[in-house]
Amino acid sequence: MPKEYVVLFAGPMGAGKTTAISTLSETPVVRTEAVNTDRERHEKASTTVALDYGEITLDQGDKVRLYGVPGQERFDFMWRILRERALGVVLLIDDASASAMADLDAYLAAFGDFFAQSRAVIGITRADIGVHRSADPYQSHLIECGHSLPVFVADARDRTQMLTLLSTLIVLFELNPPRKD
Amino acid sequence: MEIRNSQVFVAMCREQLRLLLASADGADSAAIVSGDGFEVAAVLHDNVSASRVAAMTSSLHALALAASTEMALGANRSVVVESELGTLVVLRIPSPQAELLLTVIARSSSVLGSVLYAARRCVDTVGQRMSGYA
Repeated sequence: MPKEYVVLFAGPMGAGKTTAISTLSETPVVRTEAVNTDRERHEKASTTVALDYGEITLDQGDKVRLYGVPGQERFDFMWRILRERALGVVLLIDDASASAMADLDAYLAAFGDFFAQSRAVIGITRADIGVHRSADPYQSHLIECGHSLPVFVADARDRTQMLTLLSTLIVLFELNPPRKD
Repeated sequence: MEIRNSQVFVAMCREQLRLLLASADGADSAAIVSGDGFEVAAVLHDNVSASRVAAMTSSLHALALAASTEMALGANRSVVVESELGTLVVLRIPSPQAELLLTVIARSSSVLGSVLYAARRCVDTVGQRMSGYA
């Protein structure tokens, strides 16, 4: 019987969360973008300030609701609201950012429950122009932190790659059903 | 330069916020923030954090805009949150130059109509004066 899932897309500003949801969603994406006035932090013209929302039906008929959260910590109240509804998280880390490894640590802390329960996958974006250009350093860092989770180099504009991330997360849901505690 | 970094503009905004709070009974906090959730000017009650107000105002407005657009109602002019102990209103400041929002927090003694009236007057004034700071 088809199931319904709620999945979060999290990660720092500019990692590709809105793009990933636009790439995957089969319905028009609900966006909440504002003009970005913090150009020192990121050069992009607009930024998500509440959420992105899209939907996708997978091959088996399972329906996934895709929620993107804002990248900046000042919107952490939105993280808390959306975290309550979600079964797991696709974490996108921008490899072209000098703070990529610190960003990973920050999101490990903020979305710790998902990582502790192995209901997270990590996509390393912009690796073609990135610092590490590989998933390996991130994978090693996660293992050092006690997490054995899938890490992929992925382009948020590439539907096949985004589907791989999402499908892997769905498999993790099957392997790690939510605890009732 | 972003308009939120102009000291003269910020001072003008703060003055307009003071006028607003003086004219609307029960309104005790008000802030002008950028569309992406940064404080421009704020006159706040002691226990209200300017950065939290700024971020939440930005999210509330953006969600309301997404909903009103989705329902084919066009762009929203305001968001009104009526709560047990008071009211929160968010209004967009009409200007082609920058995306700015006004938020006003009023305690339960206030009348929504008078808060909205004072808030509308404030956004119109700030909107008209923004052209001088471009």
